[in-house]
Amino acid sequence: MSNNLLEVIDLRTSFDTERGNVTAVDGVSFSVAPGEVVGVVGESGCGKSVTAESILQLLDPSSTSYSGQILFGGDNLLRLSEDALRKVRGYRISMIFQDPMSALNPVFTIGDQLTEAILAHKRIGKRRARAFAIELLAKTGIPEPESRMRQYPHQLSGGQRQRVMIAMALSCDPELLIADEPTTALDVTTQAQILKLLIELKDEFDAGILFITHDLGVVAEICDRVVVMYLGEVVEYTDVHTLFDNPAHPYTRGLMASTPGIDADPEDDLPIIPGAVPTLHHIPQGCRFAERCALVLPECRQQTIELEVLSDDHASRCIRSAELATGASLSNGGVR
Amino acid sequence: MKSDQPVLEAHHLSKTFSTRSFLGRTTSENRAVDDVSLSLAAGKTYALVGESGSGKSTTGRMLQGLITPTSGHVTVRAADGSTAVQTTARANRDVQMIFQDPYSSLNPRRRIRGILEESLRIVGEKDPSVLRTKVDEALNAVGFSDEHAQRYPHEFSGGQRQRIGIARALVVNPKIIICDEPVSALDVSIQAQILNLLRKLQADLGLAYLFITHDMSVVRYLSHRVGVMYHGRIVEEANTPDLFAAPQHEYTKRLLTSVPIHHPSLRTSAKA
Amino acid sequence: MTDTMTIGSLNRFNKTYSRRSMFMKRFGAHKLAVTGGIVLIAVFLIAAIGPLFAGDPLSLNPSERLASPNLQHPFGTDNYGRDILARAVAGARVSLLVGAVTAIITSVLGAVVGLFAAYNRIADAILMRISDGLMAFPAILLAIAIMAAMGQQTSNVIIALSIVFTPYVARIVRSAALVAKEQTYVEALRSQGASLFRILWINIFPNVLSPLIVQATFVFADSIITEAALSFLGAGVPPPAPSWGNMLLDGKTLIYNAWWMTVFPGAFIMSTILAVNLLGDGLRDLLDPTYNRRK
Repeated sequence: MSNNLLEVIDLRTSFDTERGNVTAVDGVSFSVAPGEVVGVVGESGCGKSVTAESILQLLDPSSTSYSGQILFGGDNLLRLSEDALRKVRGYRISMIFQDPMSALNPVFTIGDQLTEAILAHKRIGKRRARAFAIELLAKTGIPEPESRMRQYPHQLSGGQRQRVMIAMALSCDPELLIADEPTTALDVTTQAQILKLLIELKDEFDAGILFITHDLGVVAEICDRVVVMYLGEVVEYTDVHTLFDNPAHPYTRGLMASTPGIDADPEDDLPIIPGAVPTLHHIPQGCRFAERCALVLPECRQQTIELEVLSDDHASRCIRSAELATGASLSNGGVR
Repeated sequence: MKSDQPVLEAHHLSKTFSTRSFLGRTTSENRAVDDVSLSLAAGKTYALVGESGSGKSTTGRMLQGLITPTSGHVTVRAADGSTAVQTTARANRDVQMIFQDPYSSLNPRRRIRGILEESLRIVGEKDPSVLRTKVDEALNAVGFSDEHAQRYPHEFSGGQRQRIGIARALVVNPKIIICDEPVSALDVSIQAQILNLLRKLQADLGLAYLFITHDMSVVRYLSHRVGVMYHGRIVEEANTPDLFAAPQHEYTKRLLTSVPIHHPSLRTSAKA
Repeated sequence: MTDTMTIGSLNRFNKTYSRRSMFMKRFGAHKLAVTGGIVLIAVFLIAAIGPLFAGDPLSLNPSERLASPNLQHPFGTDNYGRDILARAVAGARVSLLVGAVTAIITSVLGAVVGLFAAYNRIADAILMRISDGLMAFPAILLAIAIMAAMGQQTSNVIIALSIVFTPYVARIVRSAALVAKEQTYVEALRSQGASLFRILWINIFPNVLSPLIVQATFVFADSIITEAALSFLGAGVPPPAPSWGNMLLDGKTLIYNAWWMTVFPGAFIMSTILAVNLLGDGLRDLLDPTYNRRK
């Protein structure tokens, strides 16, 4: 696909740690088209945030090494110089974070910070930048944007701060927006508003969004395509409808089952995924999910499991994915 | 056990936090909880839901005896049927609490056994053999063995720590546990483990839970009765199925429609 | 915006992932700390058993006044013909005694004051204003004033130094305890009805122990230096008992004629302080729980 905005090919990100080198992202590939929302889902330690930060290479350069390709607008971002990269960060790719408070400077007003960001990208005068800032704030649904401009970050609520961050991210008219758990710290009612806002703005700006989250509900709300990650690997990759209709990886299935829906039968116990995510220092042999998998077979532990392509836009890292994709209910015949 | 008898009641609880200036004059007052009454039945779960700042945690802390209410009082019914009326912050061994953050809620410098024994020592237990057996029982109840007791908190994952936090509450045989967002800091796959464990413990031990949460799906799964808090007041209270079937208050309706959908085909702005 | 964003996430990752540089630093600190520890043990051994071999620090020998270092007197003799080696070794006893006892007293007092200040607002206000007052004086002036009031005696040196250094320890303990106090486990203890004593001494105290130990090593070093300074000014350990400080005082007027009278006690002071500081720095790194733990 050549019309992709962003193409990540076989990305590997590893860190030097005190207990040796760990690979937090291990051979991840996916793409984002303009106007598309791609979700990266997984639990803590699955590498989803590291993937996002690898794209802009925001990790500590002294202890991080990358390999693979990150193609954006004809360039491999991993090959760019720091100067060239700076022209991409915040100009063509913007990022919003889970905690807007730490990304805003507490000693400057919202207006100062927003105007500053605009002036950094656009050759316009201070007056016009201010007017544009107010316009952006209004667009993100902040009431009374003019008076907000004079306020400091701590005077705003969490939802409003996140709106300011979104306004900042949009100030450069980015082609790609990376959102790293932008609604996790917010109340559900606020979360719903922010998700709605992101969708509207994406359509208006025709940007692609890479949406990092742990919440399948949020994925169902907003994403077009989904990358499910587990312990540094992509375990399933497909469009959102296929994912929810025919999940082809036991981990995806487990995640869906263990989320109590508001119309689940409260009389039954929740299905669980036993155990916990292993640390990157103790990556299991063979299938990384085998230890926690209800459908595990002896073969699972003996070989490296590759992503199996099931259809044009559906791949799953499981030797039983073909069976699973049919929607059959499977067991492992009691093997453990 | 008489199931409908309330074990914990809040009577017109209010809490006002005031900010004082340098000279001790009250400069601003914030009414965090405003005339909240509720009653928790033995062996049942009452969910207190609301957004951050709605006063649900403050209410929980008044019921726990951590905060003195500005007005109103709390009654706790003990195992022998006697009732304790509390108007000031006072700990009651029948009421225990589990906390949101599994990392800061365990003392990093103490072994698991020490942390659990501390709960018993606080209520005056000194006999080493009693300490040992009770701690072992509580750890067993949450799925840990003797061997885990010798370790330090940092050797455990978030979900495991939360189970240790539950064991710490269980070890003194409480009737009531105040659960303050006990799963919201955990990964999805771990949340289900903890929720199942809490339900099992309720069935086995007849515990009553006051469950503070902002997650409607957890409410649906775990609670028998729900109180919806908004700006310090309970704006709606109902049995769980009724609340989900027919929410009355405007805020409850908004809360329910804000819950993320569980399938993309349910999108309202169906753009496929 | 770009820059705030970038810096924000870099900081976050520096904390979590930049481990190689930390490891090197830690290893380095290790080696230096070990060296410091060895030197300190050696000084302690000299102080403990040295006087058995080094002869009498007080015996006068007018015929051998101001002898330069020779076989019989490896460090030379002073203007009364006393053996410098014997006096330096005996002085080590005084210095280490003053340092160690002061460190112990300030640790105990500092822990008590710091923990109560952290937990009680009224106690905090009173105790911290007193410590502000004490810290407002230069340490050496305050120590001289106290010595002047109490009289020149080794035990009074210890009392003076303890008064001078306790506020510093209390501050460290207080700030560590304030951090520990905000943790949820303290709220859990309160919710169960734990007494103030239990919360402070059984549960918070272990969490302030490592900064306390580190601070105690620095107090140890500082009191050796301050004792030496006091004795040098004639307000410390009274002569003729030797201490490194009053040996320097003795040598001061003769520095151009008998360099050995100042160089050897000076070298003892310097190497001991250096060793203690290295050990303290190493301990600070090693005892910091964020150092070896990954959340």
